[in-house]
Amino acid sequence: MGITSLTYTPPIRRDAVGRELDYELLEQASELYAAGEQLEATRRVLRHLFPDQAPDLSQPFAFTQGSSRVTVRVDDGVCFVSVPLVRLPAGGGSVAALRYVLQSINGSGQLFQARLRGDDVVLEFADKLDGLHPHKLVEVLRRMPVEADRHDDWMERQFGATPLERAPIAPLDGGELERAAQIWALHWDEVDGLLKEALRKRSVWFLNEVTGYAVHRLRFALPLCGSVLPRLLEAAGTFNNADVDPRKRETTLAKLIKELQALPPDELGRSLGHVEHALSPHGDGTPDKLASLIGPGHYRETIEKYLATGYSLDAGLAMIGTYYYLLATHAWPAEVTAALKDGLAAASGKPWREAAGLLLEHAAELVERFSGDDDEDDDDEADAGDGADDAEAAQ
Amino acid sequence: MSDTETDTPTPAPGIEQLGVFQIFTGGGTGTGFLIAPNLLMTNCHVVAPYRKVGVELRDKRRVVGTVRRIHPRRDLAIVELGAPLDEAVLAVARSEGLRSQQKVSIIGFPVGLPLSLTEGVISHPRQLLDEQHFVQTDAAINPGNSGGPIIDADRNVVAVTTCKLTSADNVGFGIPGSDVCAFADGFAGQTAEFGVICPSCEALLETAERYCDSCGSDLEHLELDAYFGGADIHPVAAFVEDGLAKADIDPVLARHGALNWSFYSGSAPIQIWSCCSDHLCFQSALAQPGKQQLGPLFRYLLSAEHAPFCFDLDDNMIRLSLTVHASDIFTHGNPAELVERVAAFIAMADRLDDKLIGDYGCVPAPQTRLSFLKEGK
Repeated sequence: MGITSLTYTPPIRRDAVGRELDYELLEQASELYAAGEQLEATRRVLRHLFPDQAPDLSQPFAFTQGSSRVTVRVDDGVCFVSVPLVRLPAGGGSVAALRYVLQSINGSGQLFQARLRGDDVVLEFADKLDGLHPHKLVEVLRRMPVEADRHDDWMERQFGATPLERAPIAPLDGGELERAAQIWALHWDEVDGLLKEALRKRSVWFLNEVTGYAVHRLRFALPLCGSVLPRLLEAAGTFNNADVDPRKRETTLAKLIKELQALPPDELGRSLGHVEHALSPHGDGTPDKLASLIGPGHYRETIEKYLATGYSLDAGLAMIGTYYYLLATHAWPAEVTAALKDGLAAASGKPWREAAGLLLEHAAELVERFSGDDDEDDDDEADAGDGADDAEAAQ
Repeated sequence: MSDTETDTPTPAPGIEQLGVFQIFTGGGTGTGFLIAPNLLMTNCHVVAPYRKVGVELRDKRRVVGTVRRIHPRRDLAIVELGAPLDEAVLAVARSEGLRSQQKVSIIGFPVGLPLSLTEGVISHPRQLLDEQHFVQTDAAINPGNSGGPIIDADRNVVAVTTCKLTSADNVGFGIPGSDVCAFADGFAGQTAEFGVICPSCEALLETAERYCDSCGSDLEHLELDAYFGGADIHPVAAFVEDGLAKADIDPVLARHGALNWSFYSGSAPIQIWSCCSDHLCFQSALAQPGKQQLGPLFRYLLSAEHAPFCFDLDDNMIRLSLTVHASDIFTHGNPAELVERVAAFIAMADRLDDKLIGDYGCVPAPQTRLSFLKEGK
C-alpha cells in the first residue's frame, strides 16, 4: 500500500535565528576601502558580521562556527584567516586523507584553500589589506568554516584523522535523543515509501520532490553533525542533482535509506548535537524568497495544476517539502518560522489532497502577510514569438 | 542500389584535408573555410566586432587572422591569414541548381568539438526569411558551426551555415553560394584594409559614417563605430589580457569566447574563465600522479609555499589553480601586483609540470604538449 500522508514532528534542532545585520556598516567598509583605509574597512566588516563583539584586530579575533574555530588576524598589512581542520593519521591512512583534501576540499572558484602545516591540515586564506575588498572578506568568513564543518568529522571517521581545535558540541539530552531516534526511523520509512512511489511514477518532477524532502526534513528536524551529515550530503550530491541520470539518483537514495535505517543508535547519538554559529550558516529569509517559492508563480501554478488534475500526492509532497526547505535552509523572523511550522503541523497526517489544499491556502496567507507590497516581476514572461524571430545564430 | 544511396556524399574520411578551421574571438567560436590559400570565409556574427581573430590549425597552433571585410546583412565575413595554408581551398558553387531532397553535409566545430561532419538534405533551396533567401536544411546545426561550409556530394560549397530555428527541430539555414560568390568577387576587386558592406546598396563603406555615401541609407542601426573601432573590452577581459601580455601571450590567440581563454604556456594548457559574477578562475591541468611517491607528492601539493596558488585533484588530474575575486579587478589597491600574479601563474604552470614529472614520477596530462617539456618526455 502506498504512503498516504506525512507526519510533522516538532524539531530538535534549535531554530536558526536570523541576526539583524547592519548593512550600512558594510557599505561604510566599502567606502573606507576605496578611500585607502583598509584596516578600518576590515574592522567595519567584522562589526557588521559580529555586532556584539566589535573586534578591533589589535589582537587575533576568534569565533565559533559549528564545530570550527575561525581565527582572523592582521600582521604587517596582511589579513590571515584560518580554520584548523585535522591532524593526519599515522600510516597508510594519511595518503588517502591527503588525496581527499586535494579532491574534495581544494578546488577552483574558492578563495581559501587547504594547506599542510606539518601534519595539520588547515584551511587558510591570506591577502594584503590593500587587496582585501570587504565583500571578499565576507565571502571568506562565511564560506570557510562551513567547508571545515563539512569535512572534519568525515576525515576523522574515514581516515582516522584527529580533529583540531574543535569547538564543543552540546550532546542531546535523554529525551531529545529518544525523540531524535523516533524522527530518524519515521523519516527514513517515509522516504522509503516515497521512493517506491517515485519508482512507480517515473516522474523526474516527483523524484526531485522526494529527494528534496529526504534532505530538508531531516536537516530541519535534527541537529546533525558528526559523520552522518557529510554522508548525507555526499549522497545528496548525487540523488539531489537534477543533472544526474534519474536511475542513478534512485539507486543512490535507496542505498542511503538502507544504510541509515541500519545506523546503530549510539552512532546516531554521536552524530547529533547542538552547535553554536557566530554567523548564520543559513540564507537570509526574506519576503522575496518566501514569495518566490510559495507565492504566485510557475512553481505554485504547477502544484495547483497537479492538485486540480488528481495528482494529490505530487502536490502535497511539493508543498510539504517546500516548507521544510524554507525552514531548513533559511533563517527567518520568529513569526515566519512559527507560521511555517504551524502549516506543517496542520497538514500532518492529513490525506494528500487535504494536505495540499490546506498548505496552498496557508502559503497564500503567509505570503500575503509577510511579503510586503513589492511589485510582481514580470521579466520572465518571455514572448514565445514566431519561428522567424526565434532564429538563433549557430555561433 | 537505390538512387538515393548513389547520391550519398563522399564519407567523412578526408575532411581533415579540407581547409575548414575553427575561429576564436572574445565573443565565441565559429568555423571558417578557405576560399583562397590565405583567405577564410565565415559569418559576420562569428568575427564582428573583432578585427583580429584566432584561427586554430590542424596541429592545434593558433594563428592571427585579420578581418578584412564584413557584410552584416548577409552575415558574411572574410578573414585574411598571415601566410597561406596547405589545406584544400573549397570551391563555392553558385547554387542555382540546388533542389529539395539533395543530400548535403555541414562541416564545422559544433559545440567546440573537433572538426565534424553532419549530413542531411536540402529542405528548401531558396527559403525566404526576413526578405532574404536562404538554403534551408535539416542537417544538424549547433553552436560553433556558424560560418562553416554546407557542401554537396562533390564537396562544393553550396551555402555558408548561419543559423537555425530554436523553436523547431531540424530547421537550419545557410547563406546561398551565389551570395557568397558575389561577396568574395567584390572583395577581390577592392583594396581597402577593412570595410563594411552597405546593407542597402552593397557599396563598400570604409569609414563609420551615419549615411551611406552611395545610397544615402541611414546606417545608425548598424553600429558602424563598433565595427570600425573594434570590440569594447570588458574590464575583466582587460585585466586578464594585461596579465597575458605580461606573460608574453598574445590575447588574440588565447581568446575562447566571452570571458574565456585557453592557450598553452610552454607545455602546460591554461584555461581562464569567469565561473560566476564573483570569481575569475585560472587553471592548468598539469599531470597525473604516478604509482609511487604519492605521500610526498600530495604533501608537496598541499604545501603552503604555493600560496596564493593551489593544487587540487580532479579525479586523477593534478591541477594548479588561482581564483581572483571580482572586487580585486575593479578596486584592488595595487592592480599591477594583481597583473603580476596572473603572469606568475602562467609561468609557474609551465615550470611545475616538469617538476611533478621529474621529481615525483607523475605522468604528463593528456593535454600536455610533450615537446615543450624540459626533459622532452
